[in-house]
Amino acid sequence: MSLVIVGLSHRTAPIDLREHLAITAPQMGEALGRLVKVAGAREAVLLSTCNRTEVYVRGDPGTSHEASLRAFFGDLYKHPGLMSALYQHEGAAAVRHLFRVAAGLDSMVIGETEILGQVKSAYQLAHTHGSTGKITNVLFQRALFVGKQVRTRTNISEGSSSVGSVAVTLAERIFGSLHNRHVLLLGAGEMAEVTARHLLSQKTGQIVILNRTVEKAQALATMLNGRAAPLDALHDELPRADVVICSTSAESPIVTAELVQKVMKVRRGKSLYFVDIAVPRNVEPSAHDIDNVYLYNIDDLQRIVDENMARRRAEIEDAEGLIDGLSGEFHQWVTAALEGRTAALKHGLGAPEQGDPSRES
Amino acid sequence: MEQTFFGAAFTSYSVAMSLFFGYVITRRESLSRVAGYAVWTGVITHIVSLVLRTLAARVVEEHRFYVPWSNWFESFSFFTLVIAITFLIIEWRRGMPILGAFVSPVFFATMTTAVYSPFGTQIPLLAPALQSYWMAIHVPVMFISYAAFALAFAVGLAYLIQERQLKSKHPTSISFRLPPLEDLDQLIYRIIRMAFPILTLGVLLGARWAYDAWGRYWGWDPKETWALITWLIYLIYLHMRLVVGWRGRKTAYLSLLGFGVVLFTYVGVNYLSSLHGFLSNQGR
Amino acid sequence: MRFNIWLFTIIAAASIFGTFFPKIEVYHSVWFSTLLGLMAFDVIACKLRRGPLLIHGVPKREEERSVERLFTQSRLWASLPTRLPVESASEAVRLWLASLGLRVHEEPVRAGESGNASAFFAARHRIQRWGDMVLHISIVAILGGGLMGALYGFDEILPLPVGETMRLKNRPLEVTLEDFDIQYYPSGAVSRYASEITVRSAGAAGQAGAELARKRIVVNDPLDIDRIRFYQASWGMTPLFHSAILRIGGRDIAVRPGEEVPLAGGLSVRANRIAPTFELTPDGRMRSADHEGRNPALQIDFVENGQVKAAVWLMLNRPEAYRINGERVSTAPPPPFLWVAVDPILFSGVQVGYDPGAPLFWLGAICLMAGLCSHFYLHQRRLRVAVVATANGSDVLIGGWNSRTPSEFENEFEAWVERLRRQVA
Repeated sequence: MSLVIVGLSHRTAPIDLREHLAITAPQMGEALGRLVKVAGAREAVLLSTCNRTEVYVRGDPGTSHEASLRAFFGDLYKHPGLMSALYQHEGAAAVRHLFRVAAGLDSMVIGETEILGQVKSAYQLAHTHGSTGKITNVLFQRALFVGKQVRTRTNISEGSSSVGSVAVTLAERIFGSLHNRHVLLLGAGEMAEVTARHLLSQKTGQIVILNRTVEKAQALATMLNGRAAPLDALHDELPRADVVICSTSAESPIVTAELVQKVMKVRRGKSLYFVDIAVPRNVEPSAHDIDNVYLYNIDDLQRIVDENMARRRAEIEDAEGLIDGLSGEFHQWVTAALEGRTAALKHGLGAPEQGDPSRES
Repeated sequence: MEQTFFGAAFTSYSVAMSLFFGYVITRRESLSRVAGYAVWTGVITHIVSLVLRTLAARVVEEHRFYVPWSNWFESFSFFTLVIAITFLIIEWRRGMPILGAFVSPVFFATMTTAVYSPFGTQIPLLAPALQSYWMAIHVPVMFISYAAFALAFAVGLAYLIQERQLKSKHPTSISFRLPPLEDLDQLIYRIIRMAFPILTLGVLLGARWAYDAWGRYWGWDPKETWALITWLIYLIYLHMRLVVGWRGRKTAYLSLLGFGVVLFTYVGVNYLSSLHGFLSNQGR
Repeated sequence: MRFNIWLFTIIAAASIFGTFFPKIEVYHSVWFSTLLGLMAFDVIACKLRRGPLLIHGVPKREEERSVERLFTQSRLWASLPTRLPVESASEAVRLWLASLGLRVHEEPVRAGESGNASAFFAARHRIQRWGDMVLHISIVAILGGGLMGALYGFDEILPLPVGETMRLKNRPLEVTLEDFDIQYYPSGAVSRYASEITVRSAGAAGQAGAELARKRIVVNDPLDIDRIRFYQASWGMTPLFHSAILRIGGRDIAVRPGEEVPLAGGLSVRANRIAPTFELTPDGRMRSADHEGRNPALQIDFVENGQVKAAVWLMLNRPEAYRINGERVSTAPPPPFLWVAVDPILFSGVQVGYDPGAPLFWLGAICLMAGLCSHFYLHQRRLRVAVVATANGSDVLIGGWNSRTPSEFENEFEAWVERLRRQVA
């Protein structure tokens, strides 16, 4: 079939090597042109993300393009370790590789969804620059389909993968829509900011930042469009908050269980959610036992992330099986198409459609 | 003819329950939608069966006030219908498909209780006390409030499950299939807020009926007393929520307890009272 | 406030107790009545403390009529800067509020140090604020009605046999049962029973007073004379009967109460009275459990030469009899005697009740429903709008308040604000 992939990823190369091989969208047109000329490719697509740069090429049958493709990489950046970091796949293995990448099975975070968008952009860019053809058109569209299928049919993308997104997911389990919920930040450090940004993407209501040094709080408040106040405003601000993110460097808890009890009375029992990412902890752990109070510290959140990841990994086997089937089917289709026969590609749960190379583009 | 429609209703309710359970397990949205249609079908066939029953019964002079909720079987059958309708209304207003998994066992249970009536399923001979237009007014109003409290109970259960998930710090996929905590809490409150005036109306209508039938508007008959106790429980819930500020777990427990009291007022009390209860005509 | 909840709980617990132990007097006891009285008193005390209701929602105190203080209670907030001068902006606000169907009141308020701004106070479902007060006061009325009835009302039962007249203890009235009619289903259960009664004012001894009313009363349909109500409460068998038929020695003999009917061999039989629901107490005494006639027994004497040879209670249509001392005797052949039929004298249980507290109770009930529906089904929403002059034109400040949780007003508030925004921005 003469489909070849050459590339490197986070599995084979460290970041400092990868970043020299990243190709941005403006550079794409020129890079693709070079690829076609240098490698003599009939069709080419370039996938470049922060975690991988890969070249997908359909060349002449019978010719080996591996050497020219490796040379292409060498032209981009000269480094002694480069060649050993490159891997290649051909034919059916190449199809399988692309499907695995699209499904998120080759990502740093198993099942992540960003890669799907990245594959789509890479394909669209290549299409705009005219470097795609009948085989790559069907291949990439099929890859996007497979990527979606694997995510719906297995639980490979289930469960948040970062502490920040877990914190937000839990907040949504408690409060439902976070629209107009009040967020309180204790401490103005980086961790707080990251978690706060996660929350803000949900259109929360007022955000208040308390810090020992008010200037830092003010700076963060301006960035996040919120309000700042000194740390001793805690007693006034805590009752008004629904979500509290704690990251001060206090040595002992600044929010005692007793304070939380009082606050809950003022709040009339409305749920209160603490994300305590400080070490040592800012909130007395026994506060979690108070009715309608939910206290999650960094260990709890990390544990949930780990559980989610473990669950995702447990899905890998199913996902691989699915991909095996789908890539095998695709390979048969391509082989048949190249030989002039028509074959069928299953679309979803329905009956197989009569595939035609030109139709799917 | 009536039995065919009743059987269709029973089947529809059972199918709905299975589909709701299936939705919980497989998370296929289509199942919950079809389950909703099954409930609709059940409600419509059920209403038809009740109409047919009424027409069949009202041929005798003693049955000129007859309504199809005059004995154990009919009462539970009608209660099922009211629960199903109330569920459909709340589903339409709030759209919580998972609610069906909690409510459908309730109306399935009441329907089964009807069918396995210890007193038979024939049209009853109305005792003189029940030969009144109040039967058509007081009982449905009470049942509407009872049905709402049944729903509040179901939502309360969902709340407690979700709360346990989140307190345990190990939320599983169950937590994601259930609605968020605050939404559930708000829903319980709204249901009880809506149902409390209706319950009050039902009790007052009962008093008006008693004034004509038994010579006094309130006699501390066990059924009357337990209706008052039900009223007090939900009064406590509302004061807790609005005045003192209890929310969440404690009020969810109250919604469970409240329904327990409702059940006792509905069924349990009949074993205490000979004046008000089904035993006053052996349910026949 | 927690006191109330405890009070409700105790009343509930006491009521539960009363239903499980009906023999113990709970509901009319002093302590229970005290609890109810406490509830009434508590309601009054709590509601007296309530602050004065604002007219139109305009703050009463002068200091609060400034733009800075206007929005402290608002839960929802929006501010619309506009190029329009104050007059045009105010006109736009007027039209906008009218289009929303709100009740509006305008009032100037202070803006800043020396300026003035026009302020608008608009609301919907304002009447909801009365609901809370009304429903609480009506509870007091209901309890008051109950108290009045307990103190000044009365309740009597007149077990009237047909044709008899009885006089009330509580009022100078007489009730005569003209006719009693009872019907049965084929199964034997009672399908209907009704009494034709006449009520007369009590005359001097021996004389009938003036007739006040005559009605055929049924369960669910009593007779009402100046709020004294005559109910068909129950019915039963008296110990009396018109005639009975005994089958002795294969022959059917008709007997009348107290009448000696001769049998063969100098023996005669005399039927005396009926026990409507015959039963034996655990210590062997006989009695009638009630008047419902669920197990009728006829007391007959066998007399010889003026002396009672045997006295038994004979069950209806069963070969079963009991001596006076409770010993059971079989009357199956031989020798056979059986009671086969009876024409009983029934009585109608006419209940006479008077409850002067009833009107207060019903008034309280209606007010309770009105208050509950108003309080729980209406949704009070208020807007406070201030139009303040600025360098570029004016600022329209809008604050929203509602009687339920803010989230229930949010969407509507934003939609309303959006409407104005399109007019002035």
